[in-house]
Amino acid sequence: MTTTVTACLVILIACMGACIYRIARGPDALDRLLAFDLLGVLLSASFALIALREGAWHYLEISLGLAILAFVGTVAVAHYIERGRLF
Amino acid sequence: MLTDALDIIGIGLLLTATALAVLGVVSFLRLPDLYSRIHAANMVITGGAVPLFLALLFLADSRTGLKALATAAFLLVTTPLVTHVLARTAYRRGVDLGPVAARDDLAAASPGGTRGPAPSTGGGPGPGTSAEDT
Repeated sequence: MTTTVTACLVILIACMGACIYRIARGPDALDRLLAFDLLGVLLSASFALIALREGAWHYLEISLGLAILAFVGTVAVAHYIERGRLF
Repeated sequence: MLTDALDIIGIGLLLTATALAVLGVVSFLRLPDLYSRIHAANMVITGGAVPLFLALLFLADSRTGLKALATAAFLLVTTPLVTHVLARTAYRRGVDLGPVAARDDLAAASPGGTRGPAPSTGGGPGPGTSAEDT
């Protein structure tokens, strides 16, 4: 089981590398923003896998916090791009 | 024996989640325009991250599993919001619809145009000719 979880973790980290490639290359600012959101969610999933692998269950709270931060940050930056101001 | 069954379900969910995340990220890299990429990213989150947290529900003890279930529910609720805000911002900014878009129904419905400054230069027929298709 530890081998499976480690393999999944490595694959998710490779996916995060692909997101960083899209952030560097994306033709529009919204592409970069979407890749940033995806990076946050994949990081949160990786923290859940680390918690499962090490048996360190308090890492799940980091995972929930990263998901919340990715959501709030993405919506705020999208509003800023659309209107030119935050509120 | 029950524990074995729960482990098998959890590991199956874990493998499904990883496979769907890889599929979504590959299409996120390869799809041609922003709107298709938004769709692919949505698949990474709802198909990849949510089953992964559900797998934790089967593999961990019950208190930890409830935390993972809360995270999965949060992702499931907020992903459509992010997708909608990104797509609306992209349309109002005038991001190109891409070479695969056949027509622009929203521009046909609102003649004044909510579209941004950059005009659509997609390969498909414009909104003026789209009435013949239907």
